[in-house]
Amino acid sequence: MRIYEVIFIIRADVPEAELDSLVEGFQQVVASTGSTLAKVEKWGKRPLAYRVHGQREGFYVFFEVHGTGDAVRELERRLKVSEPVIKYLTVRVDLERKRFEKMRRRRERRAARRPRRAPAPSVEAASGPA
Amino acid sequence: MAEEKPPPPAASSAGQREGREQQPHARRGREGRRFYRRRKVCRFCTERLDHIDYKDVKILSQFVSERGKILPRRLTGVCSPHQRQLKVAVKRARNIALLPFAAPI
Repeated sequence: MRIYEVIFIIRADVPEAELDSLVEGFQQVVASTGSTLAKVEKWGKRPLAYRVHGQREGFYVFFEVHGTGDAVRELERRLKVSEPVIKYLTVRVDLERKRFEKMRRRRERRAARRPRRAPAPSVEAASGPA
Repeated sequence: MAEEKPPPPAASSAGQREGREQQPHARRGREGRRFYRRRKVCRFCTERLDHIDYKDVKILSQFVSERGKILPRRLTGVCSPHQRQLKVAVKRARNIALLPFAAPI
């Protein structure tokens, strides 16, 4: 199973009700491909850092999808053809997360070991310029 | 990170030049520089934020210039593994319009 983060931006001039149904629709797309949506966040209206299709503001929506690439492929296709969506970005995060988890664990282990090593300066000097 | 500790020992007075990185304390005035330079440390290391999130505009914007360029690590003091992550994060953030590619002056 893979984990993806999908962010998309909907034009700010879309009315509230339509926006909700739009997001609802995208959620359904993910569900229908057998993947699960772990997180859905509406960040609300935010200023864009640069103009996109003449827009200076956009409504940000964030999905975290747990599943296969098929879900993301279909979701991206829908986002692409959907008129009010002005930008989207998908990032696969599971590998990175795993790596950081590993790093964190290693650091904890090292932190637990360090006090014992401290009194011997020769060992430290040898491992110094890593 | 872990290697930061090593030697404050007595021997250090002779070999000034080579150990700029290893020496934890900046030596003021010693090497003919007129101004004192504080030793910069990587913020991500000291604060243990090892995952640099592309969604976190508040943090990322501290590492880009007013014009939106990524600041070199010689200015910010970020360590090279974190600078690499930062680079990717800033580029992702630009892609989704959280950060500018080029900001107006």
